[in-house]
Amino acid sequence: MKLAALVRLVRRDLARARRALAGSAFGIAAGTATLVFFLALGLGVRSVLLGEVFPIDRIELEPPKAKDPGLLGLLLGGGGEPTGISPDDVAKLAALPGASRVRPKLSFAFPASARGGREILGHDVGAGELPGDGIDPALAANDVKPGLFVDPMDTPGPACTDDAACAGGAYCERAEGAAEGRCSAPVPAIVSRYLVEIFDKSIAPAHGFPAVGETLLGRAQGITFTIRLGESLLGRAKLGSPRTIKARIVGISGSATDLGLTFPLGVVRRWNREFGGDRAAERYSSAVVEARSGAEVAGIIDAGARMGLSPKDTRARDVSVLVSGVMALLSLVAGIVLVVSASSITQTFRALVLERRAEIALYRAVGATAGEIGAWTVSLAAVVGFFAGAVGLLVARILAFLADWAAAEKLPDFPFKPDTFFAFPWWLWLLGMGFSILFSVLGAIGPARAAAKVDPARALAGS
Amino acid sequence: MSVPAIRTRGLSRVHEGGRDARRALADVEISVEEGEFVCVLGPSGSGKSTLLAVIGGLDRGYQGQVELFGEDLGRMSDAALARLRGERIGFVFQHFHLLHHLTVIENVTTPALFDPRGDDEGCVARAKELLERLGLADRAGDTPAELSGGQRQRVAIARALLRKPKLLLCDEPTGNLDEATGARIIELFEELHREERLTIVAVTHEERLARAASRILRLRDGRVDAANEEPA
Repeated sequence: MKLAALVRLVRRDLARARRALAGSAFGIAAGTATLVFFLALGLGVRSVLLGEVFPIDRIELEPPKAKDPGLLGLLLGGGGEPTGISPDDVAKLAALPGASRVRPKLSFAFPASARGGREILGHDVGAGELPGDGIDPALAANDVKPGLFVDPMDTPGPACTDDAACAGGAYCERAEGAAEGRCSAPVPAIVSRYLVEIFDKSIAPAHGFPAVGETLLGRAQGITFTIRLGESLLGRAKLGSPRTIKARIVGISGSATDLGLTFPLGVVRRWNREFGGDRAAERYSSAVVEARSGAEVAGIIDAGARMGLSPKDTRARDVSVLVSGVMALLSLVAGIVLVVSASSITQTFRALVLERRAEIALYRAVGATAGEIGAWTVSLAAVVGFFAGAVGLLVARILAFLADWAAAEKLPDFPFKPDTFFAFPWWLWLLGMGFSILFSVLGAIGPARAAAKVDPARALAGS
Repeated sequence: MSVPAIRTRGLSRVHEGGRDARRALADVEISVEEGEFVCVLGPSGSGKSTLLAVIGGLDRGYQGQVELFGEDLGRMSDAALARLRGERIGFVFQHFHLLHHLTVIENVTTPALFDPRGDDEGCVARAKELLERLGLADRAGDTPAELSGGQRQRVAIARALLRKPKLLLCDEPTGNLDEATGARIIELFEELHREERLTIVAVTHEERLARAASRILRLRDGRVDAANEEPA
C-alpha cells in the first residue's frame, strides 16, 4: 500500500470516528500534559536550585579546618593554622578523570574592612569585617565583561608615593616599606547573587536602604569602595602595616564568595604575602573542581577525600537527589495516567475493529494484506497519539504559564524567586510527543492484530 | 492445452464450531476454463458461498488443492494471495458491501488503495469510465444511501471491475434485488462475459441467473452433483 493511500484511509477514519477517537485521545492528552508539566517543573526548579543556588557541575573542595587549639593554646597565643591546598594537590585534582578544570581559591589571610556604597545607597556604609577571597578570573568569565576582572597590576601605571600622584580615580598601590609604588586602577571585585539576595531581603529592609536588584547593581558598576587592608573591627594583621586601597564592583557571579568580596587571584596572593607571609600566598584555601558532568561529582568527592579534602557544600548533591526523586515520582504518576489512557485506546480500537469487520474483510477481498490492515490500525492510533500529544503539550505549556503567573502574583518575594518555575527544553517537547504516540500505538497493537486476523469469509458472510 | 482458470482437487472444508463440526464442502473436484460463465446452483447451506470464498482465496481453512490460473493457493503467502485477489479477482456480494461513509466514486476506487502500482489519475478515469458504462455517471458524488438496490449492486460491480480482473466471483448477486432489477444485473453479467471474455463464477439458488450461464454446477450437501452438471 502506498503512503498516500494509507494517509487517505486514516484521514477518512478521523473524519467519521472523531468522537470515539477524541474520547480515547483525551486520556493520552491528559497523561502527556501531566508528564510534560511535571518534568518541566522539575527541570525548571532544578535549573534554579542547581544553576544558581547550588551549582551541581562543580564541587568546591577544602582542606581540614584548623585544629582547635584548646584553652591552653589560646592562653599561649597559639592557634591552629589551616593546612591549605598545595599547587601539587591542585595538579592532582586537575588530573582526575572526571575533572575538566580546577580553579583554586585563596581566602584573605588577613583582616580587612570596607566603606562605600554612596552611589547606590545615598550614603556610605561600612563593613567592620570584610571577608574576601581570590579566584582565577576565568571562573567569572561568563559573568563579567571581558577585561574587567583582571589584576590591575598586570598593566601598572606610573610610579607613585601616594594617591595624590595618581589621576582618574587610581590609587597608589604601595606595599609597606616599599620606597615607591605604582598607580593602580581600583581593584575589580565581584559579589555573589546570594549576597545581593541577603542584602535585599534582610539588610536593606532593616536599615531602610533601597533593594539592590541586578539591574541597579549593574548600573552602579564602577562605584568604588575603600578597603582597609590588614585592619578590621576585630584586630590587625600579624605582618605588614594597614593601608587603604580602592576597589570597584564589576559584576555579580556565582563564583564569588557567598559572604564578602572576590578579587582576581593574583591580587589576593600579593596581599596575603604582604600581610600573612609566603605560606599564606602559596597554599590555597580551597579548589573548585569543574566536573565533566554532574554524574562525575561523586567520583571527584571520593578522590578528594583520599587527598584529605572534603566538599565545602554537599547541598547541591542532596538537592539534586531530592529533585530527581520528586521528578521520578511525578513522572511515575504521569506514566500511570498514560498506561490507563493506553487501555482506553485499546477499548476504543477494539470496538472500532469489531464494528468494521465487514469493511476490513472487504479490504482483504480487494487486495489488502493482513499486514496492511494492521498498519492501517496502528497508523490511525499514531495519528491520534500525535494530535493528543499536541493538545497535551499545549495544555502543559498553558498550565505552566498560569502557574508562573499565579506565583508571580500570589507568592511573596523570596530569595532566588525565579521568573519561571518551568523549563521546556526542545527535547521535552519531543519526549512528550514521543510518549503520546508510543502509548497510543501500544494501546492499538492488540486491536491491530485482531484486525489483521479478521476472517474475511466469515465477516463478509455476516457471521 | 490452456491452464484452467480454476481447478480444485479433493476440496473439503469443515467448519469447526465447538463440539459441532459441519462439513461445508466434501471432495469437490471442479474445473473452470478461462472465459466460462459458470453458475453454481444449490439450496441454502449446500456450501455454495464456502466454495466461492475458498476459490477467491478468502478462506484458507480447506483440505485438498485449489489452483487459480495454475497457481496453488495453498502454497501462497498471505501477501501473495492478497496480490492475486487484488489483481485477478473481482468480488460481487449479495449485500453489496459498499462503504456508506464514502461516495460512489470513492467506493469504486477502493481497490486502488491497495494497488502498489496504481496511479490516482488512471484509477479515477477508469472508475468514471465504469460508472458511465453502468449508467451511474451522474451519481458519482452520491453516497450509497442515496441509491436504489440495483444501483448499489452496479456500484459494487464497478468496484469489482476496477482493476480489470480475469475472474469475477459473484455470491448471490441478485439475491437482494427485485425481479426487474435482478434481470438487468443478469444482462450486465451476460454482456461482460460476451464482450470481455471475463471468467464468471456465480453462486445462486435462482434459476433465472443460471439460465444466463454457459455451464451449471449443482451443489448438494457440499458435494458437486456430477449427474446434474449440465450446459445451460
